[in-house]
Amino acid sequence: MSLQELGLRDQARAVAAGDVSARELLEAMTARRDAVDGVVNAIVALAPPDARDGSRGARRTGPLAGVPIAVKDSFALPWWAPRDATAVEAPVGRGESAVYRQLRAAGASVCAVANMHQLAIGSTGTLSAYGPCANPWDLERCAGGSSSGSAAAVAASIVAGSIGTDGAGSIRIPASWCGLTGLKPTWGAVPVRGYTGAHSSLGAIGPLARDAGDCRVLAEVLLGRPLPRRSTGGISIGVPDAAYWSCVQPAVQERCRAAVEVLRRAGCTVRPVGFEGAEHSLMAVLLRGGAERAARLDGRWLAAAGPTLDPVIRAIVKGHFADSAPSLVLADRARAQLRRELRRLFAGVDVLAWPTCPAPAPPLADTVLELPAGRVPADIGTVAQTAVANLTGIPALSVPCGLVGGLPVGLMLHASWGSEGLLLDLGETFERETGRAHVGPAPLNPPSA
Amino acid sequence: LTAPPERERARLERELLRLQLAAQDVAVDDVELSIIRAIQRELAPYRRALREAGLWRVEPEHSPDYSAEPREVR
Repeated sequence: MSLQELGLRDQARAVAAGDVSARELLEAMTARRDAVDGVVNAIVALAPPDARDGSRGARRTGPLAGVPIAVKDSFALPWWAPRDATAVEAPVGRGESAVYRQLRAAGASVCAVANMHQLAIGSTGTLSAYGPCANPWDLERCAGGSSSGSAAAVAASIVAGSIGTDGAGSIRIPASWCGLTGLKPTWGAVPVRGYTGAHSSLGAIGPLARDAGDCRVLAEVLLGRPLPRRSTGGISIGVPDAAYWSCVQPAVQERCRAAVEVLRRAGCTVRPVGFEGAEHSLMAVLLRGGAERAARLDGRWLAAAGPTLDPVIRAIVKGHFADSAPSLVLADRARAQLRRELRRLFAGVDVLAWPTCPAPAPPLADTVLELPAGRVPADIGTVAQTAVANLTGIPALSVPCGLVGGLPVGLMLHASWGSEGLLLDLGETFERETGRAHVGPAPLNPPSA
Repeated sequence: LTAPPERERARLERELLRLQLAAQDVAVDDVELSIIRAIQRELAPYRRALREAGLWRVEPEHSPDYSAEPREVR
């Protein structure tokens, strides 16, 4: 087995046991990147050799000692000023973002910057100053976004773990489409210093990894607290059929229902629940996210950076300024309603479950989803499924649960504020009960192989 | 008065949008206007639903802390 086939925990164990050095892992990472990233386009920058070398200044201990990690192009690094996939550096500049410090303190080698959808405005990963990011499962399809490169780098076995951000589904959507486990933590649980989206009341920083166990290790580092494993026997799962299952492709629905059934057979209880106000989550997150973005990217920034943006992204940003104040008030009322609805729901069940995305990854050339209601732009179809966690602040986890047409799909689990551990417990239960049948990197071979 | 023909209505809506943005010191060209209008059309049903749902009646959440469940409304 090559080093790049090892998951994150296995890489860390191999380093700790002295079976492999941090330098060897880095060399394997760069070799894999050289072999496959010409067609995937997941990684946009590597640390310079002196910063990349795990032997210089890196701790030799810690849960991630010697393990290469990629971070989205939204974090200040000592050797990189984030650009959010634009052509210009973000005002945060170079430095040690909080995420960088936590990863380094855990011994990780923060050695790669990952591609993303420009300014995190999009769920497909197609619009980027670095070029579109392909899905390692099918290079003609979207990796998902906005944390496209973070997901594709793990799915393509360039790195075993990565960091993304999620303001409307941007970790969970690419996790679902790339067959990974992706966690959007509780709002505010991960420090945001040095993150370009630090202004957001919607965004959260979280991990993407091959399985829930690897995701847990990264989450513990980001959250700065242990997430001890607990039994999932007796956990109650609510299934909001009308709100979040009816708009989904039948084959996706079937895989996700089967996944819920696996959890039921493993000792969870499952029951249908209503979900009032879910239909407003898409518009509310777009209005709130747009207003917060417009407040940050003001006229002066637009004058300087605007001409370099993708024309669609530039138009979206400018369009935010046309939204009215009454619309924003209604969006915030919808948000208040959703938060109260979740408080009510979590008084009756521990977890809520529905499909992460309503369809598998669409083609790069036609980012539209074929849904029961017709052809729907991917940004609308996906964010309608994911936005509620961002509006309310709760944690949510996407777990790979099968293939549709050879492409991965994910089940999304939501829990009450601060209950990341419970979500990861359920992810591990599902993997154990299915014999890890849905865990694994994309079947991507180097073009020359 | 009769309603303007569809094409004239579309022109007026584009012009209104351009002026609305200009009032915010945001200049847009014709391509950008077309993209913004296309997005607005796509989102119109969701926007209408939000507007017509009577959400103004919902008690606002004052100083929400998104890291925790909402406090009871007093």
